[in-house]
Amino acid sequence: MERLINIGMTHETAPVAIRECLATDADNVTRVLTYMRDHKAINEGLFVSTCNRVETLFTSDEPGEAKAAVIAFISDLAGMTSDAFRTSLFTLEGVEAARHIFQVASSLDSMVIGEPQILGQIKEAYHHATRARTSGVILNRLMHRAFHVAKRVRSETGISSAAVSISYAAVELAKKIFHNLEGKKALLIGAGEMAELAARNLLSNGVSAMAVANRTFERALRVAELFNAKAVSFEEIGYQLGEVDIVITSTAATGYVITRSQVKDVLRKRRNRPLFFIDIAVPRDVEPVVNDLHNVYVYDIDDLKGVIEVNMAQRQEEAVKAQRIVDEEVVKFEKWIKTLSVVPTIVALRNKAETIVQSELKRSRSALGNLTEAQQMVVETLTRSAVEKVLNDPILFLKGRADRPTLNAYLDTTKRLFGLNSDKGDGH
Amino acid sequence: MGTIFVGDGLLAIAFLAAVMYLIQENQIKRKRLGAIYSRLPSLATLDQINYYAILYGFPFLTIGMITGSVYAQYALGSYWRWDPKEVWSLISWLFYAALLHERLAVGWQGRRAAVMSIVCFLVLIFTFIGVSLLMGGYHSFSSLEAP
Repeated sequence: MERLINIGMTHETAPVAIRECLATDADNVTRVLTYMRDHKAINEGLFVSTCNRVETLFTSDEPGEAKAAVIAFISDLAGMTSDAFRTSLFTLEGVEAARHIFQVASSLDSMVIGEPQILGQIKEAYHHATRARTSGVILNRLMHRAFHVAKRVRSETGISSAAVSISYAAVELAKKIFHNLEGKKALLIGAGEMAELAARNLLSNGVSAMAVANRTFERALRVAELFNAKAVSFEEIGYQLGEVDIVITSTAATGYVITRSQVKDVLRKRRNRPLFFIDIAVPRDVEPVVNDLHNVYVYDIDDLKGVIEVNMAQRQEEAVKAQRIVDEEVVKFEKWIKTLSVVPTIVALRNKAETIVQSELKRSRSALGNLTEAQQMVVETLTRSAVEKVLNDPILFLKGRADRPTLNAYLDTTKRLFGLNSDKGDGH
Repeated sequence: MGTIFVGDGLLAIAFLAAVMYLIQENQIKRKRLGAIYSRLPSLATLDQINYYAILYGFPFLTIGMITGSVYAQYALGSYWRWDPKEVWSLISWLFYAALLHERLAVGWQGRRAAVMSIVCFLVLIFTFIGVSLLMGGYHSFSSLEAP
């Protein structure tokens, strides 16, 4: 019987040193898929390769042989011996393989639970498989169910609703203050990867104008160029505070860059418009008492980390809900897989009936004399519906037994009763 | 009467938005980003609700007071009799007028506007209920009470 098998490695089972051996070459996907298509023991195949996981998913009638072949081929690609490779691999079969792929697609198995990229990567992998024509009945169904599960998890749980990175947390806070960042202005003081990421996120969320200030003006110019922003000198910060809505600070200065009196001076000019400071620097750039001024909000790096911790815990809670959805869908898929084993028998049964109908019609044609086309149609329909009505109950019965352990006995009985195994199945 | 109720209703909405604003502002300021924070809308939204509720509520209040005094001229023979209810109505009207003026001309928003609209609403409520209960006058409808 055909089995679904999943062999792979993730950030949990394999160190990056091994994962990167496979991830570097983009052609590996095609290579693996071609290999799977050409291998006799493998019926359908799919290959997923991202920076956190390398996974193969295939169906086979001879699981043992197929597994060994896949492991050998992949370790060969990675340039390692199978034995060294095997320790970092996991192997799942049948229902467990389906469960795993559902979890992966809905981002329950990711390093950061709920991150949205993985679904796109899985879809990509599936497209490769369809293009290489390695996906068939089972994988098509499985993958479409996986996308469906991911969609349900996304919409029915809050698994990816709260931000879990500093820059996203900052944007989320800004939205709680300004509601809409469209048309808002931001000021970036200093530079650094995290600050630039936060700036980029603000811009992609609608912030319309950005100014960049730095101790050295050349540096400010260079950073400003990245964002299509305006470079301003350090002395202009006081003026800028009156203009902008969001300030990101990230300088290496040991003292405070933004002081209370500096902010207090611009409050009148700001006419109660809120001002949001995101202070990513360590030591801090914004004097903490600035937060006590009306309509001014200061979040430093620890505050933002606190937000993230809370959100992480929330995601974990939501993951429990998501797991229930996955379990539900696995049960449904299992049911479907089991009906597959009934299909050949039902098809054989229908074929046999059709052959009988055809040959009987042919035999009676001379006896029936000259019929009009309409009459001929009636005779055919009559014969067919009689046969179909007889077969209907046995077929329904078989489908209903699809997930029972006694199924094989019933299939056997059906084959014998209707003589489905004999080659001279066309009757008398 | 109807216009007064519509006006008071809108001003009550403004009041609730202002209370929510102060709660949400406090949550953000103290970095308590829990259930209350995530359920309440953004500060800008609450401020806008407060602003528009007062902007539309105030004319209703004004029209209500004018029709009231016109009716008084018909029924009682004079537009204005310095009855406590009338005086307090005028006071609350002036409060709201001041708030609206600050918002439109001076550009008040956020926290201050929220605090001010809460004060205004308390005055309005006092006019609506307190005056009748405590001060009497021909608006108190004491004649309707059981003898």
